Amino acid sequence: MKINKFSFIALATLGLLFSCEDLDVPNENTPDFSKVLATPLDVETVAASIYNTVFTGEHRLNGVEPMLATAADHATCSWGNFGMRDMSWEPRDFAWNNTPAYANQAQSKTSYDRWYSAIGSAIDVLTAIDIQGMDIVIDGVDQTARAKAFAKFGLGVSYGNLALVFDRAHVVDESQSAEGTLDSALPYEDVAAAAIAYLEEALALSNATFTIPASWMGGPADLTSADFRKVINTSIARILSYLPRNSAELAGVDWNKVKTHADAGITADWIIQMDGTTRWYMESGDYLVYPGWGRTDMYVVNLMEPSLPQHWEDSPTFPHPAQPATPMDDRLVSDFAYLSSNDFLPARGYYHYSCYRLKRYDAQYVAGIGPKPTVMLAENDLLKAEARAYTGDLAGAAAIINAGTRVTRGGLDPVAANLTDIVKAIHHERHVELYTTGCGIQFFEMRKRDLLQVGTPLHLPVPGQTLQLFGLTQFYTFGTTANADGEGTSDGGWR
Amino acid sequence: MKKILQLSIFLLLLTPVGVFAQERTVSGKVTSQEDGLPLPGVNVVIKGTAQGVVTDANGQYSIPVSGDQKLVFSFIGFSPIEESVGSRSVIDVILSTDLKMLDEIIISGVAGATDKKKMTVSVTKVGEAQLTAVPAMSLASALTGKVAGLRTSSVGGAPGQQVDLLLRGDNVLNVSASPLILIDGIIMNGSLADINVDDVESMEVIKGAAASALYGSRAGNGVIAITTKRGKSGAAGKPQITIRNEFGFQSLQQFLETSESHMYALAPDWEQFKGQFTKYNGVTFPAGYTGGQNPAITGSRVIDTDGYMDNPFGVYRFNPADVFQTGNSMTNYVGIGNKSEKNNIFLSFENNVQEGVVQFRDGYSRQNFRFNIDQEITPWLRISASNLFINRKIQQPSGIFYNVARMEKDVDLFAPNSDGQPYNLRINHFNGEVVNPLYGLYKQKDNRQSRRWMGNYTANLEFTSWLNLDVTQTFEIENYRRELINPKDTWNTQGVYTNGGLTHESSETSTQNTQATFNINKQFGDLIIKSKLSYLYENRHFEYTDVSASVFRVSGIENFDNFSAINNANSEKTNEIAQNYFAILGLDYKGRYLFDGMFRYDGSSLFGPDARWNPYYRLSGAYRISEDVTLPGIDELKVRVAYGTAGIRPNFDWQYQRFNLSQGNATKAQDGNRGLKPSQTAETEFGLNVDFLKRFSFEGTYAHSTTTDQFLNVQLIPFLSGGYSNRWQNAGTIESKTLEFTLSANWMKKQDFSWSSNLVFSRVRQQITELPIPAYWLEPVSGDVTAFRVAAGETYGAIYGHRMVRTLDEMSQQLPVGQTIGEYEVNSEGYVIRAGTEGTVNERPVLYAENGQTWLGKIGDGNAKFNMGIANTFKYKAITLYVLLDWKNGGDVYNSNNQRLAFNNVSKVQDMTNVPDGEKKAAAYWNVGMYDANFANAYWVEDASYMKLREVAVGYDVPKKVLEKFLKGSIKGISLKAVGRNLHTFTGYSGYDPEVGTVRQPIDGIGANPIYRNIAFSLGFNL
Repeated sequence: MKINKFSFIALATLGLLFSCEDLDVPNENTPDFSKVLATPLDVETVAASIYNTVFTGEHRLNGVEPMLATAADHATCSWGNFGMRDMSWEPRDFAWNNTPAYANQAQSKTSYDRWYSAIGSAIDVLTAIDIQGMDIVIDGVDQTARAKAFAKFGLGVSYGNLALVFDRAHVVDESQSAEGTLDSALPYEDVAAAAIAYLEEALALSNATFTIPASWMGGPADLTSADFRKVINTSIARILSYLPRNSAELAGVDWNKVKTHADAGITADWIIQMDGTTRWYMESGDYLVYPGWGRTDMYVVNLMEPSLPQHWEDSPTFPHPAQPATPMDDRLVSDFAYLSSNDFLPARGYYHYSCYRLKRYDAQYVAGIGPKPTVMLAENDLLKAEARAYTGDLAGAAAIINAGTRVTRGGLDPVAANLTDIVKAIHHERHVELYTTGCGIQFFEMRKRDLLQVGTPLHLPVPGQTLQLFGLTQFYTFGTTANADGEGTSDGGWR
Repeated sequence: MKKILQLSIFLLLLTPVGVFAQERTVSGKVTSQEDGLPLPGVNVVIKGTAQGVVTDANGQYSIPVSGDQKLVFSFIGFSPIEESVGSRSVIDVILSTDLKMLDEIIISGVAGATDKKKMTVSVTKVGEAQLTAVPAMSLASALTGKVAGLRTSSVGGAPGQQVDLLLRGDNVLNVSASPLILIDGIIMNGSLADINVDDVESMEVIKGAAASALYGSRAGNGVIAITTKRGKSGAAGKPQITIRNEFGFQSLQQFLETSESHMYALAPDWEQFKGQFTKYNGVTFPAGYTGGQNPAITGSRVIDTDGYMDNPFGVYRFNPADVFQTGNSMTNYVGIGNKSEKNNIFLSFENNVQEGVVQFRDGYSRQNFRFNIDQEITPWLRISASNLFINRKIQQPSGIFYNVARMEKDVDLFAPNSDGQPYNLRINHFNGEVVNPLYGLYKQKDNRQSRRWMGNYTANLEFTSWLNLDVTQTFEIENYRRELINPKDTWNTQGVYTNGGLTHESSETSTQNTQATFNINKQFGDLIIKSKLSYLYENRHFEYTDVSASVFRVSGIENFDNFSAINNANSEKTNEIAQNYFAILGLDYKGRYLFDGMFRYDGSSLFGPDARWNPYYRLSGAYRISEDVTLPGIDELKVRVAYGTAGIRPNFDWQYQRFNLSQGNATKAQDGNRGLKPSQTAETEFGLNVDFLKRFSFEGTYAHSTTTDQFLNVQLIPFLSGGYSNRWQNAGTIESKTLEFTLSANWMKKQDFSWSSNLVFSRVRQQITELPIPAYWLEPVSGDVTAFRVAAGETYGAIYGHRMVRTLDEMSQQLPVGQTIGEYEVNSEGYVIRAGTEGTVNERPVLYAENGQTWLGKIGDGNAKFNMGIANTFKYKAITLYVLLDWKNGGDVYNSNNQRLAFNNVSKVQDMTNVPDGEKKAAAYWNVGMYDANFANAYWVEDASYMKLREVAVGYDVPKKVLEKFLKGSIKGISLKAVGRNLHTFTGYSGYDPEVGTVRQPIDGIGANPIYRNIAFSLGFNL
C-alpha cells in the first residue's frame, strides 16, 4: 500500500480542526426565568401551574394532610409514616418535633415550601404584568385580567393555607418583601387577612369575562370567570371559618363576611380530575383510606352510630364492636366498610384500632384516576349554614342543613333550629360527608371547638429547616399536655 | 499492548546512546521465541558500562566491543539474556516473553510506558493471572481484595448489579465517589458489571489525585484503566484459541433467622387447630380456615398478658426456601487470537447467565462480542481498533429480602387468591401491610435490556524515531429499554383488581471522544525524556423517555393502545461537551533519579459560564536509592513523593436556573449558578518501594488529600428566593488520609511446588473539615432510615441518631419532674428502665437527652478501621490452589432491616422461644422502645467486620505430555477448575450480609440484597 505520509498527516490534522466547539450547552429539559417569563404565553404557563402547586402542598403524602387527619381523631393509623403517629399519641405528650434533623420534618416543610413556591410563581406573573407592564395577549385576546386574577387567587389560597396550618408566616408579594428573620413573620391572623385581601382582589379582577382552562384547576371542565368567582368566594369563607385556634377566637369570626362569601360560593363540587399521575392525585386521601393504612377513627364512627364506641380503649380486652344492623347514619353502610378485625400492630396502642374504613372513593383510588372533590358543595353549604347559625338565623341554617347531605345521603332526622344542634350537625357532616376532601378540614373543625385532645398542637411552627436558614439554633414547637395553653397547644379535648 | 510498548521503546531507543572505542564489531539479530519474528528496539548493552545500542526494525544490531566482554540483551516484556562475546563476531539471540515482567509495565497516568520500578506515583497493576485465578462474574467484582487503597461494597448483591468502588478516601459530597473507568482508552459510562473478565489482559488502578491528575476534571476519585487482549501472544500464523465453559450454582450463604414465636394470646382450644392455623384468643375464625385475610374473621388478636414472643404458631408453614432457590450460573467463552508480521487480531464471545436466587426471576444474562485488531499499514502508520458489543437482559426484584423477612411462620405462601390465582396476596389477616412476596414475583413482569457498543479507533503516525502521533476516536453507545407490566387481573390489598398498568422506559447514552496525542521519547546521554502533548474532545449525549398508563381495557393485551388515556410521559435530554489540553513530561536520569510533571486545562459545558476552564497539575519525583547504594538483602529501594490536583465535574443541571415542567406548566425549582466549577482535590503522597531477599516486594504509600469546592445543595429561604428552593454552590472541604501497603511474597518456588502470597492493606480516615451550610442527612441508599449525616468537623461516614440512657448517672441528669433516680435501674442489656419493669410489658428504654432535648449525635462510623486482602497461590505439579480472603476490620452497618423487623414483631432479637423464664423480655421493649419510631438509634448500629472467603479455586492443568498423545497434539492445554465465590463470611453481624449498602452508606435496609454464594466448575481448552 502506497500512502503519502505527509498528505495523510495533513488530512489528519485538518480533521482535528473541527473540534473547537462552543462549550455553551443549553438545558433542553427545563426552562429558566428568561424563557418562562419572556412572552405573554410564557407568563401564562407560569400562571397555569400556580394552583397545582398549592394543591400538591395540600394533598401530597409528605405534606401536612395525613397528620392533621390523625391529630383530629378523624382518621386513625398506627404507622409512623407521614407524621400520622407523631400527632396521634395518647396521651398527646409528643410535641411536634421541629428540629431540622427530624425524620418527619419534611411533612410540614413540604407543604410550607409548596405554598411559598406557588407564591413565588404568582409574584413572577404579577411582576411581569404590574411592574414590567406586560399585557398578556394570547392569540389576539387580552388575557391579562385572567392571569392576574389567577395569580392573586394563588397568593390568596397559599397564604390562606399558611394561616390555617402555621402559627405565623412571612407575607411577600410583587411590591413587598420580608426579612429572613422569625421576628419579621406575621401572626396567622394577619396572614389570613392578607390572604383574604388577595382573594378579594382576585374577585374584583374576575368581574372581567374569561375562561380558566380545566388544566389550571385540575378540574373536569373549563371554568368561566363567574364560576371562578364562586371558587374564590368559597375560599374566603373557608379561611374565615377555619382560622380560629379555640372557641374564644371562634366567637370573634366575622360571620357576616363568611355568609356573604359562602352565599356567593360554589354551586357544585369543586372537583379534581385525578389523572393517574402525582400531578393531580389526592395522595393523602388515598393512604388515609387504603386497606392496611388509614382507618376511620372511632370518634367519627360513633357520630354515625352512637351505639358504637367513641374511643377504642387501649386494652387488649376491649371487645371488637359488632356491625350494627341499621346504623343511624346511612352513610356508615354506603360510604364506609365494616372491618371485622384489625390489622394494625397492637403494640402501637389499641387506641389506634377501628372497625371501619371509608370505601366511598375506592373506585377512583384503584388507579388514582377519576373525579374527587377537594371542596364539596356540601362544604360550602355547611359554611353557609354555620354563618347563619352564628348570626342568629337558626331557621335558615337548619334549612340548609336539612336540604343537604345530612338528610339526603345520611338519612338522619332533620336538625332542629337551635344553635347547639346545628353546630353538632355541621360537626357531624364535616367529619362524615367531607371525609378526605380538603386538607385539614376536620382538624380546623375540632380546633375551633376546643375538641382536639389536650396536648395536640393547634398549629405548626415555621419548619425547623427554615428556621435554620434564618440562623436560628433553637427550634420552637407546639404540643404536649405540659404546654397546653389553648393558644398553641390544645388545653381542651373531646375526651 | 505489548506491541505498542515495543514500538514506544523502539522509538525511544532508536538513537545510539554513545560513541565507543572501536576494537572490533559484533553484530547479530534478535528474534522473539514465540513467533520467530525480529524484535526491534531491543537494548544491547555492554555489561558494566553505559555503552549500548538498540536493534533496528529488522532486529539487527551492531556494537563495537573490546576483549571478552558480556552483552546484555533486554527488552520490556522479555526475559533479559547475557552473552559472552568471546571470539564471536556474530551473536544471534532469541528472547522469550516474561509475563511477570509485562505486569511490571505501567502505561496509565504517565508520560509513556514505564517500568513499575521507575514510577513516581501510585498505580497498581492487576495482571491476568490475578484476574483469572477465579474469573469474576464481571469486572465489577474482579478487583475486590486485590488492590491496596480500594474499598468495595456490593450495593445490590444481585447478579449484574454494580459494585461500589472507592479508591482511598471518599472526597466528595453529593456526587458519586466512583473512579473514572477507561477500557482500552474509552472513557466508560455504562456498567462495569457488564464487562467480561476473560478478555482482560490487565487493569491499572490509578489511586488518588496525584496519580490521576493527568485525567483532570473527571479523575478526582482516581482512575481504573482496563486493557484487553489483542492477540499478540503466540507464534505468528498460529491462531490461539481459548475455550472456557463454566457451570455453577448461586445460593444465599444463609437464610435470615426470624422469630419462631409470637406474642399474641392463643385461644384456649388452639391446639385443636394445630396444623391448620393459629387460633388467637378473642378471634372467631370461619370453618375450614387455613390462613390469609378472610372477611369472615371477627375480632383482633391481642397481646398476651406477659407480652413475650414465646407463643407457638398453630402451624409452621413459612420456609424462605420457597422464595429463594438455588440458581444456575453459566459462562461460555471462546477467544481467538492470531498474529502475523503486520497485524494481530483478537476475537471473543462470552455468554454469561446468572439466574440469581429469587423465584420467578430469570436474573441476569449477557453476551459479549469483541473484535480487536492492530494493523501496520506502512512502516510509519499503524491503526488499531477495539470493539465490544454487549447484549444484556435483567430480571431483578427489589425489596424482596425485607418482604420475605417479615413473614410470620404460619403464613401459607401457596394458598390461592379468591379467583384461583396462586399465591394469595393478603397473606396475613392481621397485618394489611404485609403481602405475599411470591405474588408480585409471579404476577409482575419486569424486563430490562440493553445493547451497548464500545469502540476505539486509533491511528499512530510516526514522524521521526522519537516523535509520533496517536489520533483516536472512541465511542460508547448504549440503548436501554425496560418494560414493566402489571396485568389487568392483578390483585390489590383492597381485594379488587388493579386493572393493571404498563410502563416503558428507554434511554440512549452516546459518547464520542476524539483525542490527538503527540508522544515524545528521546534519550540524551543518561537522560531519558518521555513526554505527551494531548488534546481531548468529549461529547456526551443522553436521552430518556418513559411512558406509563394504567387500567387496561381488554385483558391479555399489554400495549399502549389498550388504555383510554396515557397517564404519564416524561423525557429528558442532556449534552456535555468538554475540551481538554494536557502536557506531561517524564525525566529519567540514569534510571535512578525520576521526575514527572504535568499540566492539564479542562473546559466543560458542565461548568458554569463564569468558571468554564480549570487547571490541574502534578509534580512528582522518585529516587531509586538501591541504584546508588548497595544494602544487604535489599534488591530494590525507592522513595517517591508526588503532589497533584484533580477534580470532579458537577451534574448536568446544577448550573442552570430551572423551572420544573409538568404537563406544560412551569413551576419554580432551582436557582442557577453561573460560577459553578468542578470540585478540586489536591493530594500529596509519599511512597516507599522495597524488594528484598529476592522473594519479597513491598510498596507502602501515605496519601493526604484535601478536596475543596464541594458541591453543596444550598437551601434557600422560600419567600426571599422568589420561590426557588435551592441553589448548587461550591464550598466545603473534606480531608482524607490513606495508608496503604502491598506485600508480595514468593515463599517457595521449586519444580513441583510453589507458594506465593499477595497481601494488600489500606487504612483510610476522612473528615469533613469545613461545611458552611447546616448539617444534613444523606439520602438513604437502600433503606428508609436516614442515618448518615454530613456535619462540619465530623467523619465522613458518620452514623447519627438517638441513643438510649445507659447509666443511672446519665438518667439522673434527665429525671422527669417529681421522680427520683431510685425509680430507675439498669436492665440486663445495660439500658436504664423504670425500676421493677424488667421482664414486664412496661419495660422500656429511655431516650438519652441533653438540656431537655432528645440527643442527636454520632452513633457509629461506616468506615472500616482497615481493609485487607490476602491471596495465596499454591501449586503442586499440575494442581493449583488459590484462596483470596477479604478482611474488613471495623466499620459499622446501620441495621435498619432489623429495626423494622422489630417493629413487625418478627426480629430474632425478640424471639423468647428458648429463653429461660426470668430472662425474657416483652416484645414491646423493642417494638416500641428500641424501634424509636424508626429513627436512627444506636441500638441498631452493628459492627460489620468480616472476613470473607472471597475467592477459592482448585485447578488442574492436564500435563502437556498427556495432551501431546491426544488428537495429534491439537489441544495445547486443558484446565479443570472448581471455583467458589463468596463462599463464606465470618462475621458477628446479625443480618444477611455485613457487606451491604455502599461504601459511603453501609445500611441494611428495605432494598438490600445480600451477595450470593457461587460454586462453579470450569473446563478450559487452549487450542
